[in-house]
Amino acid sequence: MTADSQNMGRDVTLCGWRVRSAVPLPALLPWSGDDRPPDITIRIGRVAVPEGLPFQRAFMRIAADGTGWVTVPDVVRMQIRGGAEVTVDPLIDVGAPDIALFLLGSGLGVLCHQRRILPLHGSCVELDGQAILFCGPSGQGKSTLAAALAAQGLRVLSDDVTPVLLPPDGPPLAVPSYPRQKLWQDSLTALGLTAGERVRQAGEIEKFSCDLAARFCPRPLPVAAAIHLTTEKKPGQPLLSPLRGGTGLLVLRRSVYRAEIAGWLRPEDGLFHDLVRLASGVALATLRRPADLARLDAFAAALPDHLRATFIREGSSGAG
Amino acid sequence: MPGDALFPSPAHSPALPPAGRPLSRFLWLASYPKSGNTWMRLALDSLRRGGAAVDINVFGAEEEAISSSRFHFDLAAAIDSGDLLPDEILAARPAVFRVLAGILPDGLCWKVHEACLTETGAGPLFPPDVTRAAIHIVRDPRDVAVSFAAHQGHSIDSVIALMADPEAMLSAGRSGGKRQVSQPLRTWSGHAVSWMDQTLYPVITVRYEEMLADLAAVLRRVIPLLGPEGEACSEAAVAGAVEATRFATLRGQEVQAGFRERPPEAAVFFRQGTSGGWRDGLTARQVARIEADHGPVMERLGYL
Repeated sequence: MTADSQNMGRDVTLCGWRVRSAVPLPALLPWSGDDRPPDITIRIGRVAVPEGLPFQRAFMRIAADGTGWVTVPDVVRMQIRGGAEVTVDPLIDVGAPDIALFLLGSGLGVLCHQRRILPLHGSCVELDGQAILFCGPSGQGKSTLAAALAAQGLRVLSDDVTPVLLPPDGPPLAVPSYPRQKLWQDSLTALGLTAGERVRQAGEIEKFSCDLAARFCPRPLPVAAAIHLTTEKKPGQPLLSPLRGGTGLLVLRRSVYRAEIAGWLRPEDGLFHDLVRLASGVALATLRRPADLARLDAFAAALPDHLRATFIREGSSGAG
Repeated sequence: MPGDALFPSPAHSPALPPAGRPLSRFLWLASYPKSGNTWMRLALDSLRRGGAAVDINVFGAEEEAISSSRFHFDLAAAIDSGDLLPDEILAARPAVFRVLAGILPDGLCWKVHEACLTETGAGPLFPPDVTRAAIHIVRDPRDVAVSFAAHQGHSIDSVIALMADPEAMLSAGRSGGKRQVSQPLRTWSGHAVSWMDQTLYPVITVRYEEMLADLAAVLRRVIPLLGPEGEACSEAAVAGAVEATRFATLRGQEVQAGFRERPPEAAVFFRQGTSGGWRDGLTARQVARIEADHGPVMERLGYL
């Protein structure tokens, strides 16, 4: 029996990768794919964060060779190398949700860019066998909308970061990340959902994890539309407005997760090329969601038909 | 859409400036809420463009230079601020401004509502090494109370209590914090004193009432803080900036096109643009409470 098959039961799945992790990642499903060696290995060890690197941000550093560090003071230090090797130096209990939170947040962003995969900052749902992405900066309601659509029976591919594959001979594919959401208390209350554990052990923020296993779509789907989510400023504005040409491309560029590090981890023209391919292969639009959470249920109930009519062509379904 | 300067690629504008490119030094346009900050920003914007007309909706975009903007924080932190605890955000903010000083232009003017905290756990909130100067605007707290209550959709009494709360925070928690990180205000008095008495960098304190009486004179006072751009400011530019930012003009633009910085709770952002409205807007008890809470600083600023 090989080491890989012995680990078959313990390895987990993240964005379609086989992950062998010494850090508990309860949000991730067990690996059920082929017998490949792990794509990503997460170890626990000491991490020293070097000074004087070409890219230094408050919580992240990137070396000239593309190695990345994510540091959250008094919580965790992570080193991420080659899109495959992660060393986690936990400064609190390694099983605390905080560690997984940053590993599956900025850590995932670094992994995607190192692997030259396009990560979009957006939630993603399945509609008639195709993927609809809801992109936008933090606080625009990407997770809340995904949760509201899940309550309407749609399956969710991702809550926060959706990697997009651009195969040379097919449509852009949205890759499921993992079956868990992060939701604020007000969204949980508005949607009548039960909160899981707090995303931060210290508990000073009212943000909770929410299990999605029952409503998770575990396979990649062709992207029908990438939608920039915004909030309705005054009643009566159109629900959906198409984004065309350069504006669409710029909005998409703004939706790249941790775009600020992309230029350091992959050639800029590579990212641009990916964005142009995505922009030319999918519909781009702005969606205005209601500012009032009390109106969200009705909005989410009406939205699938609206999206279907706008973006899903008859007979173009990727799967039944 | 602006913003590519914000996503530098290594070849063009590295996050840390190369040797020889010093960190930018910013201008902090600081005020308690509803004290004339937007008016001054618009006037400075016009002034820098030779006294040209202004569009109120050039402000309020995501990438607008507001010190508490989540957009800028997340960009410079390279982490989601929504996953951070309030203390972690506060302690990271000086480092965030230093990163931004390596990316954004020298002399950039930031709208600031925070008190001038000298200690965040990581040094002063607005680090002296990336600061050119501060322009500090104050307004009669009795007028602030009336205006702030209308702006927030809160009762005047709750706003008066907030203005007396040393732990007061703007955009705290989830509901107010979607686009901005929380901003420590302190009390109205504590806020004013934190800016007036700080010794980290040059500051000019301007009273809103002076802006109403003679905006041109106020602009001439702050021009020296604008650096090279200030030196280029002509008298015609000052006159143009005054004309471009008349209350009726700004209000007219809001009526026509709306204003992105108007919170949903407020009927209008540009509400009255006057001083002394408190005489009709506050009860005698409310006036007495504000004067009791803030008497010494009101006296110092000539409001009593």
